[in-house]
Amino acid sequence: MGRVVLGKRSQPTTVSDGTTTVNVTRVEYDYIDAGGFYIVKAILSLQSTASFSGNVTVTMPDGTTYVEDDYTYQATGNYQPYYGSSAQPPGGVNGPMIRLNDYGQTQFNSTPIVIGSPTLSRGTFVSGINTGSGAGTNASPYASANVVATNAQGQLEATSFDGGAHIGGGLQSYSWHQGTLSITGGSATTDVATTINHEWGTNSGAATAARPAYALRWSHSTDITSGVATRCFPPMEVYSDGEIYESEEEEEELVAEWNDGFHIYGEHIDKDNIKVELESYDIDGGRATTIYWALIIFFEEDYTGGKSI
Amino acid sequence: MGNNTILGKLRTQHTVTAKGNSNGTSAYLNVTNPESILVGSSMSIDGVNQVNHTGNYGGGVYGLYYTVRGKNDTSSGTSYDVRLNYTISNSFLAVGDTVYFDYDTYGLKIAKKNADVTTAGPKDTIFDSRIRRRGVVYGTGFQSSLSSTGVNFKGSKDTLGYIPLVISSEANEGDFEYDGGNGGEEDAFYTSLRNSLEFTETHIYPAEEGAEDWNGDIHPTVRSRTTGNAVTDLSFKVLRIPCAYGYMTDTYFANPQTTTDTSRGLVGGGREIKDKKRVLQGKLTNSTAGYSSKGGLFVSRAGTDIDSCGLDDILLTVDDGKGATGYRGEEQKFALNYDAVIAGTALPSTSIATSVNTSATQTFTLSVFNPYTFSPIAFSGITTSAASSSEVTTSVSNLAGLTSNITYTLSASSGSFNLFASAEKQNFTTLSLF
Repeated sequence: MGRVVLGKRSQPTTVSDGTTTVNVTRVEYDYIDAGGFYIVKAILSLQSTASFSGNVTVTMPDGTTYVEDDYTYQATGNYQPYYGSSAQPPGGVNGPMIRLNDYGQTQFNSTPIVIGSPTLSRGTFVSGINTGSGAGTNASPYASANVVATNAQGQLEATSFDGGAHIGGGLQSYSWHQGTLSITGGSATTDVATTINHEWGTNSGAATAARPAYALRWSHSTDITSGVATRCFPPMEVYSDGEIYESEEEEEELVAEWNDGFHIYGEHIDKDNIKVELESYDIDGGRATTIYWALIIFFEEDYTGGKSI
Repeated sequence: MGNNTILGKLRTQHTVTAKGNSNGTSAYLNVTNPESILVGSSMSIDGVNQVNHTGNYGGGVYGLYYTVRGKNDTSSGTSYDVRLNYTISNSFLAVGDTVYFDYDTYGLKIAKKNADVTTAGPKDTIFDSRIRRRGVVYGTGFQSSLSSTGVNFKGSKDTLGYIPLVISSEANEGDFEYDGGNGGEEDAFYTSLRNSLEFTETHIYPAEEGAEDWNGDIHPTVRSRTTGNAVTDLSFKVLRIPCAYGYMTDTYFANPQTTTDTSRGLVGGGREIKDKKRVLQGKLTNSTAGYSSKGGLFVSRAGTDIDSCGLDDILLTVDDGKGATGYRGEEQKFALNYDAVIAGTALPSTSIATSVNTSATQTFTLSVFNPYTFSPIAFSGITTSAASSSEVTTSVSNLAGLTSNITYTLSASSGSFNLFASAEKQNFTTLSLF
């Protein structure tokens, strides 16, 4: 059992009649209940439609083969396998699929069907943990998972690092910035902003329309101790307004009213620039506020639609 | 499909396409595939050695160690891909010549699907050991609700020494509106970012910049939220990336520099520390980080040895299965449907974005490649809010063919919206420490 693969982790399981070869993505079984549950048929989900003639050969990732002469190909629609009298899995299997009608318990015992990855899988893989073994404590930690293991349906088990099947760059930091924004109380100015020229688009060779993922946090001046924040918040936007009346002799008198707004958020300007904006006002105009902001630009493209992570 | 992984020398090869000065002696260069070069990358003209500078410059600048001091810097009004620490003449390096960067840098670099690791920049990699900070998971968790006492994600793990970046998702995101008052009072409250939280070095709390007692000024942020907007089904990941004022400095983010090791020369200032044992595949023993003969793949940040560095210096490791351990895995998103991933030439995105004018519930489906035995974790939200309450809910169905479909249901009475969505590979709940 391995923890790490550097190189080939897996390859597809295939079905072939010698002319047409199709990748297998999943396997389910029909079971009968005969004083125990026994496999009587294997159902293979296929990655694409195909046309088979003559015998078909199932080739596992390790090169093991199984040859079948009695099969049913189904391009569309659904087939429901059973575990005794219980429909399993619920919802059945959708086409395209091929059912191996002679593949029973004896064949399973001698040539189990193992599903590889949908395509040749090369790269760097690190397995996660097997929570079925151990207690997750220092005395009894979870065991490591087998990096090439599959479950009964042929799915790969979880990895803690997967360099072959996924994108999503691990949020590698590109640049880091911080500063302050202030608004004076009672002033006409209710919003201020600063533009950060990070040059992400130019440096990374990104398209003109691309934008970087980013994370913005901010703190109040009272949250700063010895030059660093003790707490911080994500972007925020809130507005509040209202009035309070008092009734005297059946007449309502306005005794208080307010109209307050506060927001701080980041906004992409283009692929090389981002703006951090503060708005703070009350009914008298600008509300006295100084915020301390922190910003990380990541190498990853923005997948949030412009929002801070 | 390009090369995926480089383990060992991270040298990249380029061709000079322009130089800064007309006489050819310049520290400014344009080169092919400059995106793979970082500030701090070393340079060689033969791919093996430092530049032998004596012939042209003499006077004690032998074996000049060139490094990149800047990218896209301007010289005489023209922007160039890289700026070196020292000028170099045409006799050494001219337009059309081959040049190498990171010729003496060793480590691990892994490209995204469809990218070629030999030419890709960090934007198109999922791991690059040259970069100090990345989304190494410090802790994860799930809270069905969250009171003002918050949740402690540190537990007995190592102390970070900074406020970390926390990625979170809640059942309710987007905008929220409250219309209230009674008797002689009328008040209204609106936020476009209802899932507001407070982060400290050890805790997450609910937060809101609310109107105190609904009678005036919005007051300093409190650890509560308006009635009707309680934290519900909070999933979060805490990453070993500082993200708060005071910590956004080279001390926390840049690779350390040496100004005393002169073995490669120090002309033009300090340089990154080399000759460290940074990558180990096999069994690691590191008493500082708490590893004892632990098998796996391990990478430390530049300037540190993997067998003696601290936990916060580790860029890649394995989960040792102990609840109190800081490392849980990686921040990795699911790819879009696999057919699109392998057929497309562009790097696929894990998000969808759409604008709609809606007067009724609408649904959108994101199909992701899921080779694993668990369901993806769906994130969603609304980036453009309307003056009415709205909500996005998600449901996940796992299909045959290693595919999961995430259905996003947007409900709103009116307005124009931008909906974004993505799917996380990491399963918060089963890896939860709490």
